[in-house]
Amino acid sequence: MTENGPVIEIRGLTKNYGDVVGIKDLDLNIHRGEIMGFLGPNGAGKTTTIRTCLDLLQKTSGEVRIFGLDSHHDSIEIRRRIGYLPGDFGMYNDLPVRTILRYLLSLSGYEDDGPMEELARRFALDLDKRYGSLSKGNRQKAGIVQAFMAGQELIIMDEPTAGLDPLMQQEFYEFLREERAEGKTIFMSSHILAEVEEVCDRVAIIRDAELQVVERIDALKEKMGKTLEIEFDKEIDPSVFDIRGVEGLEVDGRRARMIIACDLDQVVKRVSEHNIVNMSLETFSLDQFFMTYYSRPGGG
Amino acid sequence: MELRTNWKVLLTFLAVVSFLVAGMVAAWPSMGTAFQADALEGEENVSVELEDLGDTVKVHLQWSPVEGADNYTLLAYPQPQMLVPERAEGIDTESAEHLLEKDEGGTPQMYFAVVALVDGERQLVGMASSLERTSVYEETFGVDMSRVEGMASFMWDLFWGLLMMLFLGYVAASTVSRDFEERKMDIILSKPVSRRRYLLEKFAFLTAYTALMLLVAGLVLVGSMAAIGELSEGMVAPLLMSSLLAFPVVLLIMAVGTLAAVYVQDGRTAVGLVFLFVLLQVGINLVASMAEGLEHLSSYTAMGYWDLDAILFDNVYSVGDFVLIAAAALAVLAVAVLVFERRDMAG
Repeated sequence: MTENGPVIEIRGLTKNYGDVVGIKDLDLNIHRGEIMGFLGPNGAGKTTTIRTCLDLLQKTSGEVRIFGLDSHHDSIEIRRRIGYLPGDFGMYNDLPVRTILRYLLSLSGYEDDGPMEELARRFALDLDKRYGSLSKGNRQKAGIVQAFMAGQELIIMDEPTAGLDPLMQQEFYEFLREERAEGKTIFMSSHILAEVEEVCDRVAIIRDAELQVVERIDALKEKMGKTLEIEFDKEIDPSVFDIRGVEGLEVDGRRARMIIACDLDQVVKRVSEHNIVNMSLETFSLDQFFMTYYSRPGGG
Repeated sequence: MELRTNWKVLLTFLAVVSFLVAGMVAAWPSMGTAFQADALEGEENVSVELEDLGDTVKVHLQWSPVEGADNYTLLAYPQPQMLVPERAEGIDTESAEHLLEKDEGGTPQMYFAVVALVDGERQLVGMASSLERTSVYEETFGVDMSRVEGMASFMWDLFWGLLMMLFLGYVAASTVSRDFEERKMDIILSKPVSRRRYLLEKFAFLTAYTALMLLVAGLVLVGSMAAIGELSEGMVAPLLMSSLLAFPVVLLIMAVGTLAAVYVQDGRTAVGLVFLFVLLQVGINLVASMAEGLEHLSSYTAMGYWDLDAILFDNVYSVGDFVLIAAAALAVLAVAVLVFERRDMAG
């Protein structure tokens, strides 16, 4: 791998569970020093993709290279250099968190527990408590600490903020930005759009086992356009809005609502032939965009 | 980590094993009479002499005369509870002969009763048997429970030999499947630990525990026998070996448990499979020991090689057999590693 090559390189990755398709022909590159968000509804294939990258699942076909190494054959070498936070995990319930984390640290071949103590302080995690006695949020913190404590250069996380309170989430985002500033690469799945919008550089959207779009967040926002809502004085024929770039059209009698992903001028000129009672234009949020993406058959 | 998470259960089982062995030995002398054969009714009145005729044995019976007896009747049957008339009534002398065909074990067991006819009424003179009487326990289980060896054999066979195998099979199956069920596997295997290393380290731990447990059980057995003053010098080695030689058998059971766990990745099913494996072996051995002509079946099971009677009574055991079983255990473990390396981890 060259220094500028992708940290994670996924080519035509397919994973089937018997007859069930987990992910289909997925291509994705994740570059050094970026935070890549991985968005999709439950069951879309996010966890399958992540667990296949980590060699916890055997891929059906395709290729995954991490640091230029083969995800299956060089799995041990890869795992030396990555931290992983599973979406659903457990630890040894009877043991204090410190004991567990030290054990996991030793599995990584890492002895310095300074970063571990520091992370625990930062996220207000009591290392002396037994893991089994922790709340959901604190268990999640223990998971986060174990993913970052060995100073790995690539961190893969499956829904990392699940269970964290809003303040802690903000702290976590801040922490991610700091990690990125240090050159760490982060690949995280999420179904919280605000989270991806706030912290990620790029986003990959997956639906029904297939990757729909990979885009920079800022470019995506630009592309997203706006929501236009118009009220006419009488019922309007939907064919009026037969314009390239008008999406998600909903016509309800005299009212029409649509997403404008083209030049607004075209639309305004077209509707000016009708009498307009009211008109409003809203900036589209990523959240709405996302919902639109999911509601469109085939994802557009 | 195994020790840190399982030490309570493992230590408890070690204590239970020690307690049961010592307790069984301590209770044994007071049960002594129960293991001795019941006396036959009037056996002092009938004497038996055997005459070896090659393929047959002639039994000479002689009894004390009964006053006023018109004649005598001789009854015979292989079990003492079901004697049937052997010969027409009317033996005039105080003696009779009975011919027995030899079987595999030489002279067969046959019970006799002599009945006198006095004034038209039947009256038991006495009973006798062709062989020295064995206790009900010995007849049922095939070991003489009044002997130290028999007691040890009985204890292993029917008591906690089974308990130990089920327990260690359970521990082996559940220690791996628990990591799946408690969702620890993803984190552990995201560290630079190969699946092979993960599995072998667990197995090595269990192997060490098994060796320790068998050693403790053997020492407690010898120690408690010594404590009740029943330990002869020659018995130290057989008693110790009776425990230690279970090692490869347990190893095989644990390997099967490990294989089941990595294959099904579900605790209940894995434990069920290893229990099935243990109980199947016990069942086959039970059938082999009870049904005539099926003795060879036990040689198809690992447990069959843990031949307690040979170890305890004759102090003989085949090192080759045990190496073979240990090798089988390692082969099963190797399959478990291969399966584990190729399977998706349940998430």
